[in-house]
Amino acid sequence: MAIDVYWRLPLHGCKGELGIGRANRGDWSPPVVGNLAPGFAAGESDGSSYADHLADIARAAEISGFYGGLLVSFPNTDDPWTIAPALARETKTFRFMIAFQPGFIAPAHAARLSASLQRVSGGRLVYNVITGGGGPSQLWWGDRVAHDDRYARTSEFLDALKAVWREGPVDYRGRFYQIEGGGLAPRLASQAIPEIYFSGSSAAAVAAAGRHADYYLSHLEPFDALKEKLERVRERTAAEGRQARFALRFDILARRTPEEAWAEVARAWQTVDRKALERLNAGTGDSVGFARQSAFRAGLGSVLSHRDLDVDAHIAPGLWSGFNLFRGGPGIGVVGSYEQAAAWLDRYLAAGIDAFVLAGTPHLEEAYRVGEEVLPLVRGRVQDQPARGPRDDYPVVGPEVGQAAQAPISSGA
Amino acid sequence: MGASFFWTLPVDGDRRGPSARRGFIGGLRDERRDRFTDYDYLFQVARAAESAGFTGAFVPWDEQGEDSWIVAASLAREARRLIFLPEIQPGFTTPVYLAKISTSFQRLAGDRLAWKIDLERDPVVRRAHGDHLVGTDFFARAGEYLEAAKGVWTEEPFDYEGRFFAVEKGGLKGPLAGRPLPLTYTAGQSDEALAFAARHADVHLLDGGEPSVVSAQIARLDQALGRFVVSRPVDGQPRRVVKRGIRLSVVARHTAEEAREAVRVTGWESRRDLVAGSHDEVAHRLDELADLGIDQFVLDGTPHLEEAYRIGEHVFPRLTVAARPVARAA
Repeated sequence: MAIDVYWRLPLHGCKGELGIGRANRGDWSPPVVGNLAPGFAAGESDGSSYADHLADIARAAEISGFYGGLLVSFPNTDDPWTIAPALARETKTFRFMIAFQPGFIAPAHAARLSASLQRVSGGRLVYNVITGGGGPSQLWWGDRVAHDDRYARTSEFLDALKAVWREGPVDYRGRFYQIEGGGLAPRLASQAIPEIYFSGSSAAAVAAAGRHADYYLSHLEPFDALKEKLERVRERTAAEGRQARFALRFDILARRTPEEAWAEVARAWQTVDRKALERLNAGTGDSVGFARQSAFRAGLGSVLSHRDLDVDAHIAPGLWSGFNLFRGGPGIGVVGSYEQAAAWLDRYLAAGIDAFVLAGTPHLEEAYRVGEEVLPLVRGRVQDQPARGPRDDYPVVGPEVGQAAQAPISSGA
Repeated sequence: MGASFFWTLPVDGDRRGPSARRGFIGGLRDERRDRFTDYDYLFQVARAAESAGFTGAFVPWDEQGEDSWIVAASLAREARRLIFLPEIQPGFTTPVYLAKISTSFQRLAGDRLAWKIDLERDPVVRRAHGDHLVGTDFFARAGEYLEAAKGVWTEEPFDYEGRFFAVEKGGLKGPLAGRPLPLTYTAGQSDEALAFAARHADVHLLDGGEPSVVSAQIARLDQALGRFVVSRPVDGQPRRVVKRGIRLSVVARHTAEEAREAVRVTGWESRRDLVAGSHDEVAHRLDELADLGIDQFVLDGTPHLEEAYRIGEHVFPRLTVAARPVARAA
C-alpha cells in the first residue's frame, strides 16, 4: 500500500516563527501592522480572511506532494466542517482530514454532510475521529458524557453512520442513537465512506479503534513506548478480525544541516519562559494520551536547556519533546537535517507505520520545504519497493522517490 | 427602502450536471469526463442569482439533494456578494456546533450567513435521522437550540442548562467571537411555528398565495407577536421586530399565455405558492405583497439558471422602488 503523507492545516492560526509569539497569520492575535490574512495597514483590515491563508497552505501542501491535510478542531479554531467545503472547489488533490467529535453531530446527518462533501470534492474527505480530551473543554462543547461512555458513543456513531450510508433504508437501535428508516439519497449513497483515522490512547479508545479504525493515529512517543502501544492496537484489531494500519502525527523541523535545525530550536527556546516549563508537567482533563506525553517528559529529569528534552538519543539524534512549549498539543517531534528527518520517517515505516500527519511552523513555507527536501529522501519500506508507483491517480510524492531510493541514505548523526 | 430577494439553489441538480448528463453517442469528442461535479452547476446558479441582482441564495434542505450546509459553504468563497440562507434542522447537531461552524462561515465569507430553521419537516424524515421529537417537545428543543447557539455566540463565559442542551463555561472566544449573529428565518403556519417565530425569529416566511390569503397569515403572525410581546418584553424593547417574508414559486414570461404553458410543462399547476403570468403581472403581484409590509422574498423557479436571469432582466426592473432588491439584507 502506498504511504499517505498529510500536512496540518492550522485552523487555530499560524505564525512566522516556531517560538512563542504573536500568531501573526490570521486574526488570532489582535491584528497589528505585519499581520497577514487579514493584513493590516493604516489601522484597517485589508478585507482578506484567514480562510485565504488556509487556502494558500492547502495549495502549498498539494503542490509539494502531500496527500492532504489534517483540519484540527478545538474550541478556539475555525471549524473543519466549514473550512473543508469552502476550500474544496479551489484545491485539486488535497484530502480534507476533518477532525471531529462524533457526539456533536447526529450520525445520519454526519453521513449526509460527508457524502455531499465527497461529491463537491471528488471523494477527498477523510475522518479524524476524536473522542475528546475531556475536562473543561468537553463542557465547553456542551458534552457531559463520561470518558469511557464517549468511546461507546463514538463506536455506536460509526456503526450507525455506516449503516445509514450503506444499508438504507435501515433501522438502528442503540444506546445513544435510534434511527427509523435511515438512508441516503442514491446520489449521496454512491459515494465512498471516508477513511477513518482514529485517535485515543486509553483502553476504551483502543477497543473502539479495533472495530473502526482504518488507521490508528498516534502522537509521536518514544520508540519503545510507541511500539508497545501499536502492539496493543494490533492485538485488539486482530481480535475484531481486522488488520490494523498506523499513522503518526508530529512536528518536523528539518534544515540543510543538523546545526541549522538546532539553531532554529535554540532561537525558539529563547522565547520560553519559566511558566511554560512548569506547565510541561502539569496537565488537565481525562486524556490518556496527554498523560502519556507528560510521563515521557518526567523521565527526562530537570529541564535546563533545550537539549535536555532529547528523546531516544540512544537510537539516533533528532527526537525532541519540547514542541508543546510553543503551542498546545503533543510535545515530541523531529529535529535535524533533511537526511536525519527522512531517516526517522524510514525508521517508523520499518516499525510498521503506514501514514504520516506532519506539521511545521510556518505551515506554508514548511510544507514546501518538507515536500521538496525531506519526502524525496524517504526510502520507504523495502517490501514496498516493487509495488511502488503512483497510487491510482494521486502519487504520494513525485518521481524523485525512485532516484532517492538508490542514493545512499544517512542513518542518522 | 427596498426588499431582500433570495433565489433558491437547486440542491437536487435541476436534472442537469454530471449526474444527469446525456452522453454523446455520435462519436463527438467529449472532454468533460469526470472533470465537473454537480457543484459546478450549483455555482453557475449562484452566480446567475448574483448577476441578476438577488440579495442572497436560499439553500433548501432536501432529502434527495446535496446537503444545504455543504452547498452554502462550498460556494461562499466564489460567490462574493450573495447572502447564504441554508436550511438547518434544529437538533441534528449540538447548538455549540451550530455556533462554531457558523462563526467560521461568517469569518470566511464576510458575514454573509443567515439561518433558515426548519420547523416543518416530516417527522418520518426526522426519525430517519434519529430525531424522534414531535409537537411541543420538538419546538421546545428547537427553541433551546437557538437560545444556546446565540448564547454561545454573544456571551463568554456562557452557561446554559436546558431540558435538551447544557453548556458550561462556554462561549466563542478571540476572533471567533464578535461576528454578527446570522439572522434567523422561520416558516410555517401552525400556532406553534408562529409562537416560535415570535420568540426566536428575525424573519418569518409566509406562504405565497392571493393577497387576501397572505393578509390573513399576516394577521395571525401579528397576533402571535402581540401575545409574545405582552408576556415577554425583550431587552426592554416594547416591540420585538419580526420581519415579514414570503416563499413564492415564480413563472414569468412575456405573455400570460406563455406563462400558463410553462406552468403546465413544469407540472406546477397545483403549487399553492405559485405566481405565474406576464412579467408585468408578476412584478405587480410582488409590489402588492410589498405593500402588505413584506420585504423578504424567497423565490424559486426552474430551471434555476435561466429563470434567475429572466427575473433579473424582466421582473426586477418593473418593480416599484419599494420592492427593488437590495444588495445586502438589512
